Amino acid sequence: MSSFIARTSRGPSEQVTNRRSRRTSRSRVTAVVTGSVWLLALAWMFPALWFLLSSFKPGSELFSYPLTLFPKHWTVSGYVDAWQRFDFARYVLNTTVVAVATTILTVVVSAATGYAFAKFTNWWLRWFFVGILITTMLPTEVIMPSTFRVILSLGLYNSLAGIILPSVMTATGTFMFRQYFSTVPTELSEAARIDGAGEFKIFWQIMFPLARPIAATLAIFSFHWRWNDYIWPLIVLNDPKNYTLQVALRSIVGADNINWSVLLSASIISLVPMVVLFIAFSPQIMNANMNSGLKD
Amino acid sequence: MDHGATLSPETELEGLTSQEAALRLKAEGPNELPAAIKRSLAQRSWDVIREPMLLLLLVAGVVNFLLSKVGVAPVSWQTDSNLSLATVVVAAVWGSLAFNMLLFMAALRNIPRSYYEAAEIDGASGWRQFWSISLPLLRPTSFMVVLLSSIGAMKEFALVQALNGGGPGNTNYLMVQYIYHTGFELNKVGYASAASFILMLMLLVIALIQVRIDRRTELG
Repeated sequence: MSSFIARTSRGPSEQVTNRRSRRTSRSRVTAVVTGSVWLLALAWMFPALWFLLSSFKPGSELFSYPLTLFPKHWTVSGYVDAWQRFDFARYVLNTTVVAVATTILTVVVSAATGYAFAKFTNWWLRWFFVGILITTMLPTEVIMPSTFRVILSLGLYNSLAGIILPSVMTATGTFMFRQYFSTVPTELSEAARIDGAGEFKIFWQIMFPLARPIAATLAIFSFHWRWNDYIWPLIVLNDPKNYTLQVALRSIVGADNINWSVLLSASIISLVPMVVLFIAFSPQIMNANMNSGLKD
Repeated sequence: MDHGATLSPETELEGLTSQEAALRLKAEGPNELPAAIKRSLAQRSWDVIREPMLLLLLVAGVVNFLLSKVGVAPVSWQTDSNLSLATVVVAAVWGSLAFNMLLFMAALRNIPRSYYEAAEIDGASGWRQFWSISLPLLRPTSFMVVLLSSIGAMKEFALVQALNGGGPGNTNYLMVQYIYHTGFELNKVGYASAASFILMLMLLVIALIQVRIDRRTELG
């Protein structure tokens, strides 16, 4: 965001080199804008920061009034408790299998579908696209019983595949790739076609690499959705050995007596892989500078 | 205490623990699925502890605390129907910002640098470059964000349920709250399914209108 502002505001100040006064007033404007963007970003982070700091408070301090942002007594007892009470390794492994498999499948399927919607014209494609959009329009819970029957008949009940398969096709992912590919110049694929490349080769070697930023975005979010999925794994999984992290995490939550500090700490631990993934993928989104490979 | 209202989500959580729910599901078998879904929906308000939106409520509590310090009457976030709707709106924007921002960032990278360079040579200001280059070229992404967000907002459930359950009373019920209420609390499952289908048709109309507008601007 800040780099974007820097990019757009750099131009004029470079242009007006001989008019010093105008230049300084402009850089002052830039400073004010950048400062307020930073303030906004901090305000936006505030709830997440509180969440993090609260996990270091002892249970007695969490809801004591008046509220404090920083813990009076720093403690990691919540973390120790959560770690000991919990077979993290097993649940993390299960969740990782589900999240990674679903993410790879989702990105590939969405990219192929979105590419077809963006670059091919056929009278029924538009209606097919509306059909895919419709799948987002029913509340998920309404479709669940029917999805469950399908999973049951396929014999996938109580298996990780039963969580992976229904989540592969997402309208959001298809839509993301469709909109992105519609901004990629069609000349690229035409040039490749003239050079004798097949449709699959065009997709895999030219179009898919160009869509790296959107693939990374979808990968991050697909991983995030599957990592935090709760209801569907709860319904499909029966054997505690197959539980995903979120399903297992809820076992911390008692009906009336909630151990908040353990819950907060366990939640923070379960967020760590998400943060690592984001850091790993963010260069793909922020540094990729491809300009579509065309000189225009 | 009013802050307490925001700080005691226990009232929301009379549901069973996940293990109990799963064990029940095991005992009752898949035929009892609607009941199992109802139970897990009660649990779903829990997702909010994970999405730190609950902390937004804490922030609301802090605002009240600060107001009381300077001698102003606390804001009734939960009992004023307009304010509680505003809380939902702010929380929804807060929660969806990251996703939409990443979409726009990816799309911004795809705009050829040369456009900006040409505009700079022509002496266009930063704002002018944004309005005349970035924004029009981001149109496919903006279209998608508007369409997906409006569909998502129309069927928002977990967030509303966790923040105030469509309250106070039923003043801020969204369609899905109504469906949940009739289907699972009044046990009129058929009626609720019909209502869901109506919701789908409404969303379809909204989507078709947006697709039409998008296509029109594409040609013009």
